Amino acid sequence: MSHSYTTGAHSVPAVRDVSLDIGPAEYVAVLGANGSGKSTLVRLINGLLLPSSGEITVNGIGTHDEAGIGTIRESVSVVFQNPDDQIVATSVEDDVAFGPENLGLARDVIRERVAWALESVGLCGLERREPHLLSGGQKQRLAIAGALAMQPHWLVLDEPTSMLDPVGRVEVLDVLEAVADSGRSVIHVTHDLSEAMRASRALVMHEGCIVFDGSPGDLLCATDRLESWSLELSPLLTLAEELRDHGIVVPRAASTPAAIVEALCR
Amino acid sequence: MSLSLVSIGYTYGRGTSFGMRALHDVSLEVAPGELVLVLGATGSGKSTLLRIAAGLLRADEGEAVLDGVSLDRGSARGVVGLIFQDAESQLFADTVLEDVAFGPRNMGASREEALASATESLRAVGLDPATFKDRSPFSLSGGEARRVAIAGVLAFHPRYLLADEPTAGLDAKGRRAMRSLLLEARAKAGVVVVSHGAEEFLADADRVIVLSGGGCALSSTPRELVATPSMFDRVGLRAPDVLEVQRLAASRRSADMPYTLDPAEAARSLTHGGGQR
Repeated sequence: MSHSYTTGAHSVPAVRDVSLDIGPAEYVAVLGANGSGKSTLVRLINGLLLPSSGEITVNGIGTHDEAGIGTIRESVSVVFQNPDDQIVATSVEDDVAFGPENLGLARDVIRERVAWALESVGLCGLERREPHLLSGGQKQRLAIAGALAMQPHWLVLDEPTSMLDPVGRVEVLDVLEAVADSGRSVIHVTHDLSEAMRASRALVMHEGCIVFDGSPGDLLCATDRLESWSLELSPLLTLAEELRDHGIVVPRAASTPAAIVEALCR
Repeated sequence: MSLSLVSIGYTYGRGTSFGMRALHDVSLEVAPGELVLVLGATGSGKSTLLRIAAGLLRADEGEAVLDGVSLDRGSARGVVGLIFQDAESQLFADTVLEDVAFGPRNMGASREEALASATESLRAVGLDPATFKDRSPFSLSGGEARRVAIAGVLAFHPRYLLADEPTAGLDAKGRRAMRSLLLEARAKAGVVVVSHGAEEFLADADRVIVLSGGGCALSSTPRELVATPSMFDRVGLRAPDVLEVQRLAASRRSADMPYTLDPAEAARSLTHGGGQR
């Protein structure tokens, strides 16, 4: 599939001839520079944008199929960068209930889904809280709960941590890992290589094309190409590399300070 | 010459039942040629402090002085440049060049001067004027839009430059470009960078202020903060990962080591010397 944005005389290709298959129960990190086409890809997946050429199917239904778009949006839930942009209600539980209510579900089913979604993101006990009184990390977890309440097959997140402080960031990453472990597919758009290390599969987009599709560990080995894709080892991953140079065995999956100290003190 | 805030306090909705005290007894001073880093978790008062420093809010306690005169909207105009966190949402003109030229035009520059200054600022933020000047600001990627917004501030040559989370949401190249842009700006301006992560600007800052719950939890130098990583915990922040590794290792081995932000140096001291089991 391909997609171009057209304003006046300018037509900017954002996604070029991309072919991609994402199965159930995958945790996919989508990496790439600003402007590489990541956000366009996200919007194509659930039919917010239609491709200029090619097609996207979700469980066999094409995003161009107007009759099926409702079904697609139920099975693909998207969470965006800024939590404030996606909170609609005046209490935490009402906000999570908004999606299921729109599906016309029975009251007790909605209540069950809300309770389950809030538990999944660790916000139990805050049901009556006003969303604007939550911290950044809590707000983003609320947005994820709202998406989960739709019980999607695919949870898609477009840079969900970039506006959070380091504490909120870890909270959200832990939730994503738990969602993936529970058997749903997670598609996580990020700039950050260390966040991608938590995924089972990494895709790199560059100028609208997919230039890498493999395991996150293998991606780290492509050191010479990372630079040209505007990806960079975080200070922590650099430290892990340096330690390997000094002969310390640091597992590729080690992406937290504690995991690296574990390797060091073994 | 300096931008100086002394024992500033600010309450949103002051005098109403919704009143919320966002800042109390916070001081900040920056002179041209300096970079001050303001750290703090979400909701600690960082953005309120910047709005006061930019003259957008008037502090209701303490003293705010800009180059010897009282700091307010009027005196800050054209002297203090503020880059908001979601800078790209401030873009509005038909073309990138018009958008960047808006500031200098508004400060009374002629059209020619403004366009020349805008072109130069686009170059300074790493956007080739030939490629970008006629594009719509709304057709840009997030990182490009952020840089256009910053060019719009640089174009009127502020003596003080305040940046709220300038690297949030940018890719590696964008973050590096932003960092060097702000470090270069320091040659001519006093720079204040607000951030919730310490990693990016700590090594370059002249001073660091940590806000917590609207108060000043710490006012220090980067050197001091790096040397005692436990300070991060005390003020409710996460220490940069590289420091955290050194600290955890030191406590596991019950041996102290000289802390450093540099991964290569850290690897050396973690593997040799720096305390054995």
